[in-house]
Amino acid sequence: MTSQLTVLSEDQRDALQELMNVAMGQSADRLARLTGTFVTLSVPRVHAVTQTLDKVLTDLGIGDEPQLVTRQSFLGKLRGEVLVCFAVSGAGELAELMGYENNDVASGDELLMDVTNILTGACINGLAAQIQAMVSFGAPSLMARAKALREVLAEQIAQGYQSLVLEVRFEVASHSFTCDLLVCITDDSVAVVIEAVDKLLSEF
Amino acid sequence: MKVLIVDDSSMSRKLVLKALPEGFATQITQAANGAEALDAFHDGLAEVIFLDLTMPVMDGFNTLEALKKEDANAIVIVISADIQPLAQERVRSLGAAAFVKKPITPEAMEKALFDVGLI
Repeated sequence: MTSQLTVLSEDQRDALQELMNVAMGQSADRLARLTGTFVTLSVPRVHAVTQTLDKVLTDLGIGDEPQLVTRQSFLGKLRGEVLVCFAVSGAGELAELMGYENNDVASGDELLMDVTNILTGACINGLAAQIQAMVSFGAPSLMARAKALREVLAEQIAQGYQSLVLEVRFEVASHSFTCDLLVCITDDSVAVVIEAVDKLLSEF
Repeated sequence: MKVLIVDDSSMSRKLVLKALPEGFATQITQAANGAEALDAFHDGLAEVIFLDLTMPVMDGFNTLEALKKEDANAIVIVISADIQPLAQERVRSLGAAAFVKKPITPEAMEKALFDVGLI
């Protein structure tokens, strides 16, 4: 499918990146408050999945290492799915970050779901608010416990599920914890995003 | 006032420009990262600096540090999406006069300029 993303102008890309920057700031704030740590943000990146999967994965830079991946869908005018990529030992890292003693698999998974919910909610609500869209959320779930993102994403794209991937990295330097949030927006709601971006840009 | 706007996003820089009260800036310079900002400051182009935090090459924290180290004579107002309380504390301790969260509005800009005594 040829998407409008192939013709995403520099201004549109820049605006999208800035919308995402504001949205991820809200996620980071929630994570920081939850864990009592300082979260380092990175510049968000915009990937169009009109290119080959290889190109996107190379751009992502995290395609080949096994990851623990969670997912949560969002619905409304803006539709898609957020994948949160943790290290394979992500649950243990989070438990330590939270200062939890109990570290069994069940409570680890619960913690992963909670954190996925918090990061996704803050980020997508932040994004949606800026483009005046309402969204609701599905329940978070575990997608892969130790799988290369290359495989995970290949399945997604094969289902025609996503055409725009917005990437954000959160890092807690004091605990060497990182996770990547991939916001995958469906092809049919990309137009909503682009329209909102154009409206923003037309106001200058 | 000589105004320097530092942000890697051109849309964000335009939002800052739009939010400035009319007549406030006598000269406007834009920079896309901290390194460019320091160059502009050294060229005497900045009395007031509007500074983003999350930027490539040199981020806002490092820029503040560099400005502090050389005892720079400029008022820095941080405009960022990084709204963590610790981020705000850190920029204050590094010498920023005010913190405004993104996306900036003319009202928030006016309040910040008033709070730091610029209007």
